[in-house]
Amino acid sequence: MKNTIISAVLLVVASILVAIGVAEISFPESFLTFTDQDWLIDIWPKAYRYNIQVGLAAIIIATGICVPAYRLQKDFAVRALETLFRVGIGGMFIFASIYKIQDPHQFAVLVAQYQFFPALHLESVNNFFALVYPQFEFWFGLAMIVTPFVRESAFAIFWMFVSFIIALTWALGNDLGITCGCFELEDGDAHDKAEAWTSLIRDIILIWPTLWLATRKNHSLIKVWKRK
Amino acid sequence: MDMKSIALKVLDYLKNYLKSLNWIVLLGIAAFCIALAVINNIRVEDSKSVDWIGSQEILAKPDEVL
Repeated sequence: MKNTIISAVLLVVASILVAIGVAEISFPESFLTFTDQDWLIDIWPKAYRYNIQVGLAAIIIATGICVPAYRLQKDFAVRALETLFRVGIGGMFIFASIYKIQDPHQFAVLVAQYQFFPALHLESVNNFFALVYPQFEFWFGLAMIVTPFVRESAFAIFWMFVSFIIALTWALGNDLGITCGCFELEDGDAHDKAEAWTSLIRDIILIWPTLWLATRKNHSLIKVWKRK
Repeated sequence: MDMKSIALKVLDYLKNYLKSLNWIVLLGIAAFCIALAVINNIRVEDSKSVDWIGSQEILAKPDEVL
């Protein structure tokens, strides 16, 4: 029992650190970040420039914390990690899809800026892709949380991550300087190359827990905790 | 173990993995998503909907891009 409690505390700390890490990398001015805090900027005016480094450090520390949590109580740690990854990644995909579903035109403009389909001579697919892809994000994200089909939903989300990594690498390689458009839609115009880098780093990190989930047995989240 | 046997093992694992997936669920959700995409494009106001087939114009890259 004591080991389970310590393991749970360690995993809670790791989860908070991952949340801070993802926020620092992807949402630098959200409530979870501290590189944009006024008191820190007063002491160190350039602190806000190091959000990616701080985010990566938080994720590395969180990964390190998971090791003793796993050693202390293996079974509990695996169940907790499965739950956290399912809710976290599934929730992230649902959140990411909402803006795109609400405004298909804006998302289609954003997809066109990647100039990926014209390179494959599939220009006419652009709009259809922009219509269907957010639906995939929403429903596979939801399926990962509320259905037992974790393997299938993680398999689909894994390939979505692969497509994001290819698209962002393509954008950076061709110096398109476009925003990711992952969580909010801007005017589809080119802005800041740094955002594409941060999105690429985030996707490369998150593809690994997704791959792990794709190899898990199909269970609902309730059954994850009930099974012996 | 040589490279060939490792490659064969990986291929075998992948084949078994793909066989273990519930393709009815996967393709069912995919079909459901396509149907909802069609409905969503009709549901949203005209300024936000797009033609089924086609693309959008590529905007000029501003000078201040980092």
